[in-house]
Amino acid sequence: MVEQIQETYFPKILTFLCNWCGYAGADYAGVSRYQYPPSIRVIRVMCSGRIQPSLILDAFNRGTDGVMVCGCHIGDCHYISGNEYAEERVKKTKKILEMLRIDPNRLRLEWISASEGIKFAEVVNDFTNQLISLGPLKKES
Amino acid sequence: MADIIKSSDLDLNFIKELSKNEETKSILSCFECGMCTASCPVGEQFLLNPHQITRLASFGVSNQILDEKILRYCLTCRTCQEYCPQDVDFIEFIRLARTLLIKRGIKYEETHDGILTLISEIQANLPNGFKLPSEVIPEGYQTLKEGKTAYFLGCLPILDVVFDAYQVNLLEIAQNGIKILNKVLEQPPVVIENAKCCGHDALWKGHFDTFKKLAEHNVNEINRLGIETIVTTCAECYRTLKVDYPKYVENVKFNVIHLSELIAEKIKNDELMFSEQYDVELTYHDPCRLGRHMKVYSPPRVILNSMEENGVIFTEMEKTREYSTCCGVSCFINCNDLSKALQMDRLVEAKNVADLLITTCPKCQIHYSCMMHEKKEQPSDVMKLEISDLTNLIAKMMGLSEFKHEEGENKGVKKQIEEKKYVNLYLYDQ
Repeated sequence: MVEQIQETYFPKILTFLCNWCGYAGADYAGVSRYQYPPSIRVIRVMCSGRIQPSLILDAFNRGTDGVMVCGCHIGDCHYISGNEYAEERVKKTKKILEMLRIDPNRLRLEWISASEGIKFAEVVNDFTNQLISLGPLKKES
Repeated sequence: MADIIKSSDLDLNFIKELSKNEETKSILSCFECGMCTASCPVGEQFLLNPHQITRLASFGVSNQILDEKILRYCLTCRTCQEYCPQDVDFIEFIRLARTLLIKRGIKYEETHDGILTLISEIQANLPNGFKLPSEVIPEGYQTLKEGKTAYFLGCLPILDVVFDAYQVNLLEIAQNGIKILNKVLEQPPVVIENAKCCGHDALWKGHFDTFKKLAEHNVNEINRLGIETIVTTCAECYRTLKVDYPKYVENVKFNVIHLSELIAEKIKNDELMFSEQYDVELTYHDPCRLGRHMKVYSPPRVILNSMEENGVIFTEMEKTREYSTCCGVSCFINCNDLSKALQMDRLVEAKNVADLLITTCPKCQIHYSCMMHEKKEQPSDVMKLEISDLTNLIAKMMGLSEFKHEEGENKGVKKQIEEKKYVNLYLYDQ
């Protein structure tokens, strides 16, 4: 669990979960009652390869503090190579974020299989803690 | 177009909005000769022809014109204005209409899933500008933090990442620009560390608030550093900084020149000689922002002609100067089969006279490279054409950099296909 939850700021994480691994993993975490902070907002997609940079940038533009993309492990993709596309795209998006002076650590790509409920809980814990230490994504307006 | 215009359709506020501005007011003088429609490169795409739009606008029928399907197809290439006997500023009207459209909350679909709009919006909302990658400043060259002459990079580093699948290598333009300015100027150029995108696309897409935020930030930053002259290598930055900033933002005190103007002046004064030998036949494509918008036709030609002794053979294409065709896409909002046809026509035209196509607008380069990339699986003669920026050519001829022009084949793309390494950034890309 998150030890120090600040009253003023609690991060919002937009999470894209792939239907076959990430979403099932999150489901498994819930069924097994592994505890993780309520910071994530889940969007289920059919494959992590579906996530294009503009979706991630749109999330940051609307004030999300972090974005997480979860897919199947490399080699396990339901659509053979979708997660390889996701990896490449996230890598490029991180470059763009760095140039826009948004910390690239605010974007995270994780491989979580359907049986790794405990890993999912750990990742969400870790990411939430990391975002709390980074602070809110500051906006001028 | 509706045959009958009802009096209830008339929108007096719209006419008032048009009359506020001298340029948009000019559409009231249209006498519907149809020259704009005949000359428009995308005329057949319009649901309403340009002259019909102008006519309806001068009557004040706003609800028929302020429609995403009508306004998005204009390339704002200004060809119509070259032919117009009444000097109607049609593109300025389109810009205003798009701004009104966005104000009404209507958004249009954009190419590349709108990533470029998002980038400029994020920049406008965040306090700081681009963080330039360290490789922008080439080894052994210097840049200053404060000084009188600055080099405005624009969004070259971002576009380089976004379009790296097309092998355009836009960062090379920035590097070569710094190299050339180091040689040509008395002092090394200032590279503004905290600059944002110039806001050209935001302005022409109708996102006026975004443009204003970006422009105000840039002007403040430039004034803070005490910069008097700004050099750009991008046609769009040139137009925006020179024409649109003084128009919409206060306190603009700096001069703007394009690198080609600077170099052409040096050549005229015999201050600069090209040293390298390079045997190539090349041609020059006038980008609409540098050509028709800003009337900078001769400086690039002076440079290219002066390279004659070094083996460069410069030939004009059939459609050139005012009548040069557009690259088919403007501000990343309207890419379709007609844009592709325009690009293909231009590439064929270029290949007929030369092996190397030189331009001064990074976006023209992106769009032509995209066309080449799409046709990569059907190799033809046109595919052997090489596209590059004038900045790269100047740097090569001054002996400052290696030119990546490889005889015969488009090796970059071919290598990628062989290695199967090509992964596209976009989902909906073909």
